[in-house]
This record gives sequence, structure tokens and C-alpha cells, in this order.
Amino acid sequence: VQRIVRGFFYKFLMARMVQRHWMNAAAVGTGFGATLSYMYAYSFYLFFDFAGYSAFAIGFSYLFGVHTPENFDKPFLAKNIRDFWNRWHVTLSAWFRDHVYTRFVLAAAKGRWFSDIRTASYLGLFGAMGLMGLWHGTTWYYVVYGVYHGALLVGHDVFVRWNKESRLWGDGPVWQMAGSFVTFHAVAFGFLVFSGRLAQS
Amino acid sequence: MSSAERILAVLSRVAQTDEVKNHPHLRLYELAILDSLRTVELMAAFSAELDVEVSPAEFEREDWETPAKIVRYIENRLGSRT
Repeated sequence: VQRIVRGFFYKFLMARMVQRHWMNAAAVGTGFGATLSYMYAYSFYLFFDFAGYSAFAIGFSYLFGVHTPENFDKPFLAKNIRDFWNRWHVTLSAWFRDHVYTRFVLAAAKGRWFSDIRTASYLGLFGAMGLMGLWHGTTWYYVVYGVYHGALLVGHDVFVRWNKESRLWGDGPVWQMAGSFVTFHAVAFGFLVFSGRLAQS
Repeated sequence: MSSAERILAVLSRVAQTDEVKNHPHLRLYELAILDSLRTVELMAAFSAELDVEVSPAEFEREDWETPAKIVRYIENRLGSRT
């Protein structure tokens, strides 16, 4: 019941408010500032609308005795892009992880397709995220969105491995906040691509 | 070597830490000792070395969240064969 209330609050109050008082105004504006504003508004709208809808569905399914898995876990507080995909639309991301990424990399490992398993892993990430984009529709910016997230995940992995040697990025709370900040903006830019706004200008 | 020792030897090599042998209830995914890639490497290693095939379709992270659970899972698979 708590989830149904939260779903109602997210979807019918927060998402509507963001849409009516912020996103619609930013949508008609032009120039960099309006696009930036639209990017933030659209990101929050998407989250409240979709997380609200999911909470609704989960809440009602519990009433009927069905245990539907959680779908969102504070995604905008994710400390890196990998963490984000474990928190955003979890049921879909996990499906692509288990059925596309894992299958592909396992086949590559058993068949020794590549000298370095990491090559397979990176191709798997691009493949899984590219298909995830395509899953939303065949419009080109959905595919770009998927490939963009593939690139973010690969870039993050390359950076983490490089950072093990050079230790540029630290561990403290300030670094974690910086990580969440960078992640949120990388994700929000992805949503801007996803929204198709860039395609119209 | 017992089957549990063989399973843990594979796990500690893939995870690149001996901690997994000493702490059976270590939260492997929460502590980022295992991730998607290492999970696949584990599946490949169990297939090659213990002849246990784990299909990505049947796999759930909850079944592998600690070393003890991995041992139980693989031992079950080994046991059901004979």
C-alpha cells in the first residue's frame, strides 16, 4: 500500500508538476540554456513517471499476492554508470545483462574467440546496450542512446582499470559526490538524446 | 581435494583474492568482488574444470551471492549427476 501511495505521488503529482511547470516551458525554448533546462526536466519527469508507474504495479501485484521485483533504486544517486544500471529499470537491464551480455561473453570465453576476454566483455556491453536502445524503438536516436551507454560503460571500465595504477580518483565522500554528479549528468545527457530533442534542431 | 575445495580454488582464482576461501559469507556482488564479467569467467571455468554447465538463463545472482552459496550450488549440480 505504501508503494501505491508512492506511485501515486510520483506519477500524478511529481511527474505532472515537472511536466506542466518546467518541462513544457523548456520544450518550446531555444538555445543552449533551454536545452539544458529541458534535459534536467525531462530526466526528472522520466524518473517520476516511470518509477511511479513501477511502484504502482509492484504495489498492486502485492495486493494480489504476486511478488514483482523492484524496478528502481534511487538511480540518480548512483556513484557510477555501472551502479546506475543496477538501479534504473532493473528488470530490463538485468534481462539484457543475463541474456545478451552473459550469453555472448560465455560463448566467446568457451570458444576462445578473442585473446583477451575483456575484448568480448566490451563488445558484449556495446551489444547489450545497443539492443537495449533498439528495444525502445527503431528510431535512430534510440540506437544512438544505446550505443552511447555502451560507450559509457566501456569508458568507465577502462578508467577504473587505469585508475588502479595512477590513483587519480580517490575514495572519500567528496569523490563519491563527484562521481554521482558526473554520473547524473552523463545519464541526463543520454536522456536528452533519447528524448529526440536534439534531432529536431 | 574435496569438491568444495576445488570450487573455492576456481572462485579464488577468478575473483583474484583468497578472502573467498576464509570468509564463506562474503557478499561477493555487494563488495564488487564479482561483477558481470567475473560471473561469466566463473561459468566458463566451472564448465572447463568441473564440467558443470551453468546456463545464463537459469542463473540468478542471489544463488551466487556468497562463496558458501556458490559451493552449495555447484555441489548440487555435481551431486545430481551421479
